[in-house]
Amino acid sequence: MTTAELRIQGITNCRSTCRWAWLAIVMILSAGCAGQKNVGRAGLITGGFLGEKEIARVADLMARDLIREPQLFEGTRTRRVAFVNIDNQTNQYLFESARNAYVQRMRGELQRVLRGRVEFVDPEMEGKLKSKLVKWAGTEDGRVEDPQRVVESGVDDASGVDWLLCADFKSLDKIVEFRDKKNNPQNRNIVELQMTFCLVDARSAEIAWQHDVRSYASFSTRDFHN
Amino acid sequence: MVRVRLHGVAPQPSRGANRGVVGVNRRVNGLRMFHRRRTLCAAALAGAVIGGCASGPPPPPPYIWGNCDYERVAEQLKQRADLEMQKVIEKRSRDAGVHLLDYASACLACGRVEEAQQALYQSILLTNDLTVNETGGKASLIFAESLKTWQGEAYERATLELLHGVCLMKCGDYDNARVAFDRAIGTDRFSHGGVAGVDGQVNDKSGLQVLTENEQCVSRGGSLYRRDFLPAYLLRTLCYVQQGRMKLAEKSHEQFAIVYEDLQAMPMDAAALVSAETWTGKDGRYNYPTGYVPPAPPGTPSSLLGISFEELVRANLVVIAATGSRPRKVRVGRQGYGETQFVHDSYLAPSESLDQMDLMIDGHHAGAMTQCLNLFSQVAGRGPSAKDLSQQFKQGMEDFGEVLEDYGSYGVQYIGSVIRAINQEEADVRQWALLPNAIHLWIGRVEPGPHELTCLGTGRNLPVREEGWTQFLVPAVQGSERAYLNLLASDARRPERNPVAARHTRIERATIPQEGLATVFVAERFNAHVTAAAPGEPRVYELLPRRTPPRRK
Repeated sequence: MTTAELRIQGITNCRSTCRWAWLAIVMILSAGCAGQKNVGRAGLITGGFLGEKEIARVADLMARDLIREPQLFEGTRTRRVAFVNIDNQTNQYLFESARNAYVQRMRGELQRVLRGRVEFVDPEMEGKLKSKLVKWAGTEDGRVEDPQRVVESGVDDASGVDWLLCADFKSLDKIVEFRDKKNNPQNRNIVELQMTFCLVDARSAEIAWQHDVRSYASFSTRDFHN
Repeated sequence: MVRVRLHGVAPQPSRGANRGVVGVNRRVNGLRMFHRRRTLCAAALAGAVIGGCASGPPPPPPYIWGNCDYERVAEQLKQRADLEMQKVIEKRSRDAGVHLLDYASACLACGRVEEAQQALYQSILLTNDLTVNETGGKASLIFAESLKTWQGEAYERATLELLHGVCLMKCGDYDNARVAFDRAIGTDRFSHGGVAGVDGQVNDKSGLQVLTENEQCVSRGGSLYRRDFLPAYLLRTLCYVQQGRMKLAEKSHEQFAIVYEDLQAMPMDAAALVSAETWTGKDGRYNYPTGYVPPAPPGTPSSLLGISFEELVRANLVVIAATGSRPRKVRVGRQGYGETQFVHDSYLAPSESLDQMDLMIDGHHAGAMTQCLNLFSQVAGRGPSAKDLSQQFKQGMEDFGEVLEDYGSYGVQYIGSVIRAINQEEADVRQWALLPNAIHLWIGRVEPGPHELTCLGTGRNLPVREEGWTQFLVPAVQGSERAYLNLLASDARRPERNPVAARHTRIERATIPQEGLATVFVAERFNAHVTAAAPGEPRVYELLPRRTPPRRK
């Protein structure tokens, strides 16, 4: 066998070895990916819906959508907004203190990302408007349960508020089963939260803007097995 | 500290705080058969491994629902409960949930609603977090189960949410009360028995696969028993009504009516399906009484089965009476079925649970209250849980240790003895002690203003143990229920004349608002002075001691 043939055979062997090495690497990687396949964790947030990171994320998504709104985009003056209500229809407790904290944080985040275009009125004014909203919308706590009723009439408001911001939380609880490392079935309670934010024109009572944001969280780690 | 006794008479198991220690000693006694040196080595190793881990469960508290002074118990538990609530969840003690719930129950019974709500909410946070004390949870698979942080059984968690909702209703927070009732329904619905019945996703090695394929098991554990938390449906409907959400309220009421109808049909199904063996398997587990205690029969004057949605909308008073003591969680074992000798926890029916309550408003009979919930039937229908599987695993470990002990080689015998000494299959009988057994409801409309509500214990389970009352007064008015009720109610105001009647009634004063809903919670005190309450005797259970060390040839 000549030197050239030996070299060619060496290269062929090398290629074959490389091919096997690549195949092994691909298999290892695919095995690693398969090992981390976990339907229970896909897209889950940490810290819960009322965590600071989640509030910032939701506020950012809201601002991105809101900034495309012609009324805000083409408008020359700063709009005054009152965050009047959160309606909790989920299976998670939302006590008054947590509700107020959420409103405060969300107001701060929106104020930060929409600076110059939107300004929020102070909480006292929001309280007054909320009481007006009760009378206007016809439901307790000013809930905008039926959008048709929002369109019927408006608020004769002297406070200069342009929009009323209402939030509506709904959730869908799922029991998701996945296998742990020992292939034992584990159940997790996955909560899919749909947050609907709605801007209502304070004078015409029309829905000026509406936006849905979804989050997934394993709110309770209880696996319901015990 | 674990005392290892190698010689002398084997200690007899006693019902007390040293039960865990005695159990350890009993196992370690098996080592006497070996050579002294090896025995000492094995005992030393076992003691080193389980030292500090084998602390037995605390003795059951001396109070039960209906048989204690709630104010005094609340004061007793307040300091400990406050201390636990100040800590973060991870730092709380293993039995914090039990103490918090007992404290909450006592506070709720004596009208301290806000304190009860705080304690219940903290208990909800604790029992819904599986990340606390994971090490102890895993260790309990081998060592004593009391190493786990107590997080309650499914029926306890569902009742916890229900009582939390009642507290929130009394505080006027119908938004969060609705959340509480939804969670109570969900906790009951996704309990393991139901999931196993529907999905069949249980470990094949446990032997439960046969059960999940059994239609009877699916129909009993999977469908109806998962959604029979009846008062939660009804109270959730009231919350929706108070929130002004009539569509949701109507749907909730429809669900309630369907479940109620199914429950009424349940005794017939149960009669057709009564077969302890198919439900319990052949290992002595889940051998609960199959007799299901249904809610009040339809046709009674104020049975909630007939209440229409319009009546619910018009209602301005809901009376919630909690009676009976909790299903008693006990250690049981069943001897004599082949080689199967389990020690696990099970439940005895409370003997003092009232099955019927009546309500008088301002001295007029307002009707019978409806029993909407019976916790013993919840327990009986819970199905197998992961904890039961772990207990089965421990039994397997115990059998494995016995096989090794029977082996010829000393070394293998030594290993088997160590395994048996380490394996702690004692059942965990920690329990929410101040838990009622039954919830009775009365919903209706009364004139706004102050009223006097008198709750009367009636029915066949009336706890009349005093001879004078049983022999003379009750037969005198027998056949005339109205006269009996009037006698109870009139004598209740004069305890010096008839102390028995005073103990059998509860008088609450409530002011009904012009608009809205008044919620009245009545805690039973009918058994307040009954100290000789005889517990229901188990039929097929044999209480400890159940295990004897195998005889050596």
